[in-house]
Amino acid sequence: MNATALLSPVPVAPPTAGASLVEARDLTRIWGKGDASQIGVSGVDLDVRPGELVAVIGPSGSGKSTLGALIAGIDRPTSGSLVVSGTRIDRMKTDQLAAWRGGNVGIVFQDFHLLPTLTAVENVELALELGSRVGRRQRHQAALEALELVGLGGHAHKLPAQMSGGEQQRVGIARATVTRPALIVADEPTGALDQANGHAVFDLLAGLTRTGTTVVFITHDLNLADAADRVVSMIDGRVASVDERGAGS
Amino acid sequence: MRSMLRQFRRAPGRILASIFALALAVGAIGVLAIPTVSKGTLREAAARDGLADIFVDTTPLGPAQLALINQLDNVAAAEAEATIAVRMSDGFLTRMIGLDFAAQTMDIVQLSAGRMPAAADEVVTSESLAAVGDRIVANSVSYDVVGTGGTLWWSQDDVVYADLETVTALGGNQGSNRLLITASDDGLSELRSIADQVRVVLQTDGDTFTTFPVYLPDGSTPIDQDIQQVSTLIGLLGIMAGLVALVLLASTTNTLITERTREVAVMRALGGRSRPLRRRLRRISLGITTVALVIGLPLGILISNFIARMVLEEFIGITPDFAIDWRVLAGSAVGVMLGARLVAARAARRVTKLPLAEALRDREGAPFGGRWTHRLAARVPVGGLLGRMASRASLHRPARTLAVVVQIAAAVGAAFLIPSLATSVNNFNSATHEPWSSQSVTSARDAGLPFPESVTAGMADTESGIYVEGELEEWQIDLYGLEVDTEMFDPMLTDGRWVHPAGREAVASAGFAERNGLEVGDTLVVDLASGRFEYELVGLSDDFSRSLYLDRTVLAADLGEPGMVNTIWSMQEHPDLVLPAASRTISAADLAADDAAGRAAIVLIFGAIGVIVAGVAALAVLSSMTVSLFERRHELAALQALGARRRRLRGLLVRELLPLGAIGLVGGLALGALGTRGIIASFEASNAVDIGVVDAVGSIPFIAAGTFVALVLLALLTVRSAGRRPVTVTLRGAA
Repeated sequence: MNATALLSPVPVAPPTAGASLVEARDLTRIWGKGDASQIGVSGVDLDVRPGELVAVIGPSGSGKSTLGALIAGIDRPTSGSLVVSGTRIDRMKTDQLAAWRGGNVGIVFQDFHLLPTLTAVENVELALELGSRVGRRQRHQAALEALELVGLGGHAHKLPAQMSGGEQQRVGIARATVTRPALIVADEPTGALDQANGHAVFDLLAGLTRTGTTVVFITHDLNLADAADRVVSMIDGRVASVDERGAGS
Repeated sequence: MRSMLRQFRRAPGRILASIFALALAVGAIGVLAIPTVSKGTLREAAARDGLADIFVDTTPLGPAQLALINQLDNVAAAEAEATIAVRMSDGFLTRMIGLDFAAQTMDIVQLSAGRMPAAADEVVTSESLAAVGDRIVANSVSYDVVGTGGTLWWSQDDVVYADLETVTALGGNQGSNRLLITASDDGLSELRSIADQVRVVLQTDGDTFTTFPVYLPDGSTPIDQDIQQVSTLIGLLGIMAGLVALVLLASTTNTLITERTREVAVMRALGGRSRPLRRRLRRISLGITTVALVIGLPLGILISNFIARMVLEEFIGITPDFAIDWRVLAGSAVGVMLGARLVAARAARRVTKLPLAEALRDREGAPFGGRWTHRLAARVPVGGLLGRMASRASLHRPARTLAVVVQIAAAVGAAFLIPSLATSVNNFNSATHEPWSSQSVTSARDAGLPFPESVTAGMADTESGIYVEGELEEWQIDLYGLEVDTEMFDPMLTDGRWVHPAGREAVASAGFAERNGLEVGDTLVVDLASGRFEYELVGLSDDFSRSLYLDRTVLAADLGEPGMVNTIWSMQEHPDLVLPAASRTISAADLAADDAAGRAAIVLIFGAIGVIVAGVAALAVLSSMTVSLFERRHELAALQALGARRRRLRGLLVRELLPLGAIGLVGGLALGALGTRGIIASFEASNAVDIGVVDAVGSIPFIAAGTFVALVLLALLTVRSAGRRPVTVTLRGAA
């Protein structure tokens, strides 16, 4: 595999023709026990098709971030089943789940969560080092190209502290996409950005669906959600409605 | 208190760990109390026994001489006892002391069971020798044991106490031959002055001292002097334990407050003013420190008493009562509270001064990239990505990195210093035997020179000579009177020559001579039991003791018993000797066994202190690393989110810790080596002997392996702990 191949806009084949990329069934996440328990999500059924841009909206505490974390595999459901890319991830052990994340999902965080001691290109390279078996030179080249694609070719050797919030988030997107995952989960990626930067980041993520990547986009911003293929509304940990917009499908 | 209880309910494990760490820190300070606890026990025993200020064996004394001595200047009281060596039915020699039980005012026998003798055939014995109701045989005479007990002076020996007449009769009616004196003014020079006056009184009747007087000035005990070195050493180790404990205290207090960064930020965001918040943080920390003190102070008392008991039982042969050094107790309580207050205030100030936005996001500290070192490290990528993260994390927080290195160095230093000290002391003990080639030493059990020097005439590989104690340059020294052409002792001369026959000449231990500015050709003024004598220093011996070697005929004459000796050296383990007085033979194998037991005791005692010091230092490292890793939990969680397995995280932490461990190891070994040299040098100066430093090089691989294993374990535990929390929870910074 060469660096260009890693980033080439070749549509990702769905795991099984016609199947959903994400299949959540009766998905429940409860924190704590007894009287102190707190419901994150409860009885969620959701299917996300390959190449789809799905926006998850809802008021604070509605469970949208919890749902995103479950789909991304950085949290585990209390009950229910969750199949992503044909793999049942709710039963995976910690290390299996970590390995699965490295190869199958890209995550974009509201707070970026870049490694503060690594430069932009090193942060992107890190995803390749953890998620795939690529040689050091190829890895570096692929990371540089990923940064080019998000418009940060000239910032490759800057540290996160030397970049603006918008730039850091674009590094975060480059890091999430460099491994060419079938699924990208973005948890309020524009939440910490101004409107212009927010739209630029959204455009980058929306553009990924053209290459066949599935994007689950968690947001408060209804304007951005309107541009999604489907909008999943959540209230009190449950899916209140699913609106098909059809724009990108 | 309510706030502390709330904290406890929220994170019981962490609070308990903090309390335990602080309690151990307080407990470790208790090591400082060991010398006082030991000495306190001895002083109590001395006061109870009415310990005399001067002890000296003499030729038999009459009542008139004793009356004269009682009238000497500065003599508060003088008493006489009889002491002889008796052979028990099992063949072993034991000391028998004759005294007036009813009139005793000094060195009073304390009963542990039974009663005092009321008849000539009744005795009291040491507990280890017999029990009440037993019947013992001494020099073929039977006695009923009516009591057991003893005195502080004889605590290391098996002794039979009997009526004065009984013992003098058993010893051939020689009379009292041991003098005990208490002085009104017990300064050392005053005691020496009394001894000089007593010598004059005795010389009038042709009598003399048969041993060099033992002075116990200023209320000291003989055992005080015996344990001085051990006490000093323990004191030094105690200071080390205390310093390491303070580091642990600082780092644990720091952890307690740093962990509340976000909580404080929320309160600030809600309008909380910094000053009350800082007060609140200090209170939480001080509350936990108070609980730790409540646990740690008794722990310190237990540690000090446990080690004091080990020292006294092993080296002195007495079991001390439980004792408390209130000064150390109060000092450690005040020190710990003050230390915790200072560290808590500093940490609270730091936490409340963080930019609110940063603190609310649960991030801590300045971002990486603010210093030129950060930028340089980013510009010069070395190694893999995880390696770069590891090295840059160390650069990111240089103060903490330095603290961790120092703490590792302290732990390693303690771990290296203690075996080095034990090895040096053991090596010194062995070295004192090195010049001697004899396989056995037979010594007279009674004072004086009871054997004619011809007792070994015609015996191959056996020599007679003298061993007595004396004083030179105000140091107590060992004097050996040897055959001039001795084959038992190799002086290993570093300067000068061996003594000539009948010459008033002496060879001295080189280290002792050097420390007292003595050179070949100097005249030595030596105090012996019989008086003051002068010898020319003709040679220096490369031994490790504080000794003078003379021609035996010269020494015997100076001791007032020409042609007599008290010691037989032989190349045979069990020489076939026919001696006119009681004696005891110790073979080289017995000596080696004694040495081995002594070595084991030293290793045990040093080991116990070492474990405490190294354990406290290791906890300090753990505590610092906990803070460091707590502050970087988002980084670790982000790595996990990107797909890093636990193995990778462990690898990252190990990469980060190992260089610090390596630097700490090298620094600690240097620190340990320097510390050993410092302590040994202070011993050499205070004892005027060469001891020599032997670094416990053999322990280095174990220390290195221990450091490595501890750091890897730390990484494992951290990753395990990080793995318990869902990644998303850590990333969101939810508490």
